[in-house]
Amino acid sequence: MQTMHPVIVSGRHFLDTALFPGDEFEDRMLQARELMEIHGLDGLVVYGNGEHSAALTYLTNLAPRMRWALAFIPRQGEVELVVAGPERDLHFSRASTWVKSLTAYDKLDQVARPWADTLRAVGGQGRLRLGLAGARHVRQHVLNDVARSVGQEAGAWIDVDADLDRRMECLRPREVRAVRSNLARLATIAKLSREVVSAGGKAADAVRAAEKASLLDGAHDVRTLFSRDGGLTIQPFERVEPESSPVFAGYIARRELGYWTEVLVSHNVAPTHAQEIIDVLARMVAVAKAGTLVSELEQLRSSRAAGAKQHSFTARAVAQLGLVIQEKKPGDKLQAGGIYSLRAGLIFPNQTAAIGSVVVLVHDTSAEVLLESHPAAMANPNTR
Amino acid sequence: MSAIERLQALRGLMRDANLDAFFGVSTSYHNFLDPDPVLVVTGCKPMGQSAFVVDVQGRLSVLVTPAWDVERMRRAVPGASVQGVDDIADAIGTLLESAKHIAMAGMSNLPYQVAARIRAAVKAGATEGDEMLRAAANIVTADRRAAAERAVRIAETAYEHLLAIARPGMRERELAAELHDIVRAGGADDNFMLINGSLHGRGITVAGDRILECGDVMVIEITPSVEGQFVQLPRTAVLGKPSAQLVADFELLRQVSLRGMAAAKPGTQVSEIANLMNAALTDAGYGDYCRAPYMRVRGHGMGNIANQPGDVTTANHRELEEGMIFVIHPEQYLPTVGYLLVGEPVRIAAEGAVPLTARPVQLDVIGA
Repeated sequence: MQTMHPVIVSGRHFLDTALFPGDEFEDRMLQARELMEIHGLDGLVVYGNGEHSAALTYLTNLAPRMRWALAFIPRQGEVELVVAGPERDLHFSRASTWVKSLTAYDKLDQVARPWADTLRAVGGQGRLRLGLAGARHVRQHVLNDVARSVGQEAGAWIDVDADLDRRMECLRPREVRAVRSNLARLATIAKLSREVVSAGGKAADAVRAAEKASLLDGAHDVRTLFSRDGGLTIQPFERVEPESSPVFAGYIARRELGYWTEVLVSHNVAPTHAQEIIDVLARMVAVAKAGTLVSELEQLRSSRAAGAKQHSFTARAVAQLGLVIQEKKPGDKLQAGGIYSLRAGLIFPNQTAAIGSVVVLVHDTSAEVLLESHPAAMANPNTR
Repeated sequence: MSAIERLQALRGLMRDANLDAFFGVSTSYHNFLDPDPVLVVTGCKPMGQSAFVVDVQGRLSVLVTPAWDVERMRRAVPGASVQGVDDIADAIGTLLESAKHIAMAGMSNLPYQVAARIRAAVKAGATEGDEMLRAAANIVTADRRAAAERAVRIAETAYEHLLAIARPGMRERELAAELHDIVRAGGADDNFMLINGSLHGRGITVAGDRILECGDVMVIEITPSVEGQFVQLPRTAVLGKPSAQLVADFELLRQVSLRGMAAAKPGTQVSEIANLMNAALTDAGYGDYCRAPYMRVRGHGMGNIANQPGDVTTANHRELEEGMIFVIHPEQYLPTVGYLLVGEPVRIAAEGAVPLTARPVQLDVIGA
């Protein structure tokens, strides 16, 4: 789900060697080198920035907080990182990666040029075959800088994003553990948001509480969206504004050690509306398994309630969770080992809405429920 | 409202340049130091890649992603044509089909693949319009000043809270979570916040797991945004009794800051202010430290709308103008005491820099 990206990612991120020991990243680097073998690459450049860093974080654990970073990966030999930002801050980045060599971006040439020269010497050729990961997020000026330093125009580089994305969609066991841990904390945060609303708080109070609690419990990042109008429209926090309905609809995405999870929360909805969403989610979970088309899941979301229509906020029924929250297209299929958020949202004739989600770990023939977020009915419908 | 004034300014610049159309694109990635084109003309910060087009009649069209966020933009610019789209490149091409003389802004912040698709979709070709957008973004408006003043009040409230609750045994990030909540409750839509405590800091970064302890010097930057206007409050506090060296060095930097502020008048070049501050530190024997990695800049403007006067460095020869709002901060690593933050957010008035804070910077002592 798109949320409002902050100017700096300010939560907790570090290299957790208990959860992700050195051999984990050695194995991921083997994957990267297999990819290079398949594409006949001499070297791979990996880009990540403060907003999008899945490939970079997957391979190096580094997740830039603002600006960007590049990893230079040869077929054999050491990985080098170049990090944009003041040199005085480099040691902070050092604490979050297993990579030993970090250089400030204004010295890019001192890293990229010898890297490329070494590749040429090893390969015995002038023209290198280079791969680029994170290609869909790279800015032109960065590409120009790197191309200039390696002495080869970037236009001919091989975009390996699709291949790397496929590998990353099926989470590794340690990644699953990280996501499970995150989901457990997210469940607590979602519960807290409901409690705030039950106690008479506004929607903005609820998401503020969720943000604070997430940061206190060590989240890497937390994003929220909420509704001021009973769930009809969903927005980021912009300013203190009046709210017109006791019906709460909110979205919370929580990142921990680079891994994202999300939950859609509704509270104080009419019991029949809550049941509609619960039924939709149950239908989706029942058919979810490896190979299920996203379009099949989308078709299960039609409501039996007269006059109810699909909420535009949940137009994309399925999002893959992990180092990125990636909304899936109708033609995509669920993959075994992938963790997905199944979403439902309806707008009802009385001009309120309900949303909800279930997070599942997909197996070959079934889906394991990791987090259920069903709309909660209001205690006394007669008070509306 | 400020956005209307900025849009009017852009329309005027377009007329002067004989443009048929102007388009600006915003990425979902919000840069602290650069104007966000869609935010500049609409007053609404987009969540996803978004774009605006102003045509030769001055009519505004806005393209919003994700499509479900369209109502928020419609509320912000009720007079504009607003579409929720899945992809901005094709939609921009359609809006600009009949335009011949086009300027564009924001392209360099886009992912290169998206920028290439937009260039291909805009058949007429377009010239760079980033300077034009910056000129419109940086006009002085009463709303912008009011937003800055509100942001400063939020920052000072948060800092007062920090002074009240910070104590040995607390983790940096616990403090940061508390301040994040205060800043949100005050109405800030974003906050660039850095908090560190150490006996001898080498720089400053986001709050981490470090447990604060007696003797730690805390460096704090609280930078809330109100309606897209950031202001920055740079502060230093010490847990427990400060050393005589710390008191002396902090006072040195405070005097350097005051000297910079005293020099900041309309017509003064930014470089003069940086040079003055560097000279003062050189006179005190710290000339070798007036460079990376011991410091970065002596202050800076702040996006996401107006960003002038840019970085306060010896290389920036822009002249200060009335109405500019930025931070003057000679923050600095000193070999004696480590990294210290000192400075004020200021507005340039006719008579010179006016600090926006109610409580001037001082070395705050917690729990001595």
